[in-house]
Amino acid sequence: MQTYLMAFVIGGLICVLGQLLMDLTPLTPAHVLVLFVVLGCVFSSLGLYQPLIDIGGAGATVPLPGFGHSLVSGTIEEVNKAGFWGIFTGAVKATAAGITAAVVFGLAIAIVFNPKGK
Amino acid sequence: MFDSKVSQTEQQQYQEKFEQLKPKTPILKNVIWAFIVGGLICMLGQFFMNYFMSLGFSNKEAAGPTSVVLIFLSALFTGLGVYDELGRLAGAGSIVPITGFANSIVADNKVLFLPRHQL
Amino acid sequence: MEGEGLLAEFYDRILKDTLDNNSSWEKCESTMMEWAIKTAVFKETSAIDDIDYVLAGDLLNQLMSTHFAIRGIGRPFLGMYGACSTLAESMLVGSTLIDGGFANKIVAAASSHHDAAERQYRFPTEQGVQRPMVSQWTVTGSGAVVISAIGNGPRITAATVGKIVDMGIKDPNAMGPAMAPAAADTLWHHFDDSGRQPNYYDMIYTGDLGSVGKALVIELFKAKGVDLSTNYEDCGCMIFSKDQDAHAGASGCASSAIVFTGYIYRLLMQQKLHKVLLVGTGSLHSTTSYQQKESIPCIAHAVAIEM
Repeated sequence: MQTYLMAFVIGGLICVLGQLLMDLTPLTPAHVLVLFVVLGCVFSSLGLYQPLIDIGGAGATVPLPGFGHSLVSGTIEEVNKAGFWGIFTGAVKATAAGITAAVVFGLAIAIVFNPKGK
Repeated sequence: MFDSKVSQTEQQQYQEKFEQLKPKTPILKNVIWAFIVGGLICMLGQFFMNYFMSLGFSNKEAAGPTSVVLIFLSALFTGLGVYDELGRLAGAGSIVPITGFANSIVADNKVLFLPRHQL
Repeated sequence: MEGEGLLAEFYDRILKDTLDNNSSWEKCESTMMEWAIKTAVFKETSAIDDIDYVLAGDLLNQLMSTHFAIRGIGRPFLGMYGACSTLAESMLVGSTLIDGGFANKIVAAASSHHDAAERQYRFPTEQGVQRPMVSQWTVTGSGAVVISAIGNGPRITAATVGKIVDMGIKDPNAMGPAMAPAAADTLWHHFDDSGRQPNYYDMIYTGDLGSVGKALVIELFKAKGVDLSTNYEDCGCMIFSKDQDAHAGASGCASSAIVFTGYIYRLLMQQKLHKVLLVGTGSLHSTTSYQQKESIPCIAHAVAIEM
């Protein structure tokens, strides 16, 4: 139960940060989306994101900074394993499942459903 | 009322007037909803993560399949036209989780296809 | 959404959804405009071939909806772009054509479609984003008017062409506040040129400034020592009810088009209003200009209609 609670709190707080950025600055949702991935990369490379995952579990991996973290940690891992070429392959390898899922499901859903107006 | 070239002070004065009359963003309400919805999506993620870990995935390996499931759910609910209703309420709560990324991809994809004739 | 709004009883036709059996929103907008033009001509008891010119426009790139609508009309056509001021602009040019003796009968029309406009200007409709409180809701609809050299209807007695006013507002969600100075400027010059006072008119209507833009126009006039609040209303504040969650009100070409053709025109015919000033307001930015961080140039055209 403890893990669920921590996931809720950490995940919720990251979203609150995004909401405050949208409401208090001129940043649009698209900006926030990109900014959070970049922030995830930065914190991950400083070694600050893994501790957050240890505390929050999915609360830290599900929000977009978690995606940024996967990009960086994937690259580091691959560089350690495969050397220089890891810079080019690591990031995408680590996030391949998510990217493929988004593209495939995105396409499939777009074909199945009609866009809805308001 | 205005000269053809509006001076910068005039522009500034007007923009200040606009800021005064601008309707306030309900920040507290937005933040609370973002926290609750964002938290719940992450809790759902934790549920799938625990499930995948019970199948023998390591803590780290479980994150991949978890995002795949969440992305699928988000794509499905976008397809059903429900996710944007959630987004109107939750704001960042449904944008910041990986599901928001999937939502924007599906929404963008969908407009590329012409809707078929509705019967 | 419009059909559940405040003026629902005044529209000639309400569609059940935003596609109305068309395969795309843009096609739906075209059919709406074609229907509006044909109905306006029919109501005026003329045939489509009696129309010398059609002047029309909408919000989409290359006036997509208009061009496909006019394809089915088959009359000489001039495309008008004044963003949401298109109907006023078309009426202004059309009445000038008639006054100059170049035409006997013209049609002015404008349309907008919420979903088609969202997809061009903002986000896909299904992207879960929050709309800021200052934002307005693009009206789905179309309105057309027939202007004739002879007849018993209300007459266009004066018109003022606006100039572009840009107060440096960059937020494309705040179009009403961006357009308010243009509306105030055109109103000011209209009173100045015509010698008429604001109280000459029973009502002054701006196109789609919304609640915030309307308040700003009143403020701007107050600063000049003129009280406008008694006989001034904005079409964008008349379409949706509070609980329809349209935030600051309605916008789009159709905002002034459906309020004028549906509501104001009917009141003129019923002699409930005698002298009306319609001020179409348009924000002339594009998606490219927004991405290049340009501010929003705005325009307003005034047309005086008297019964």
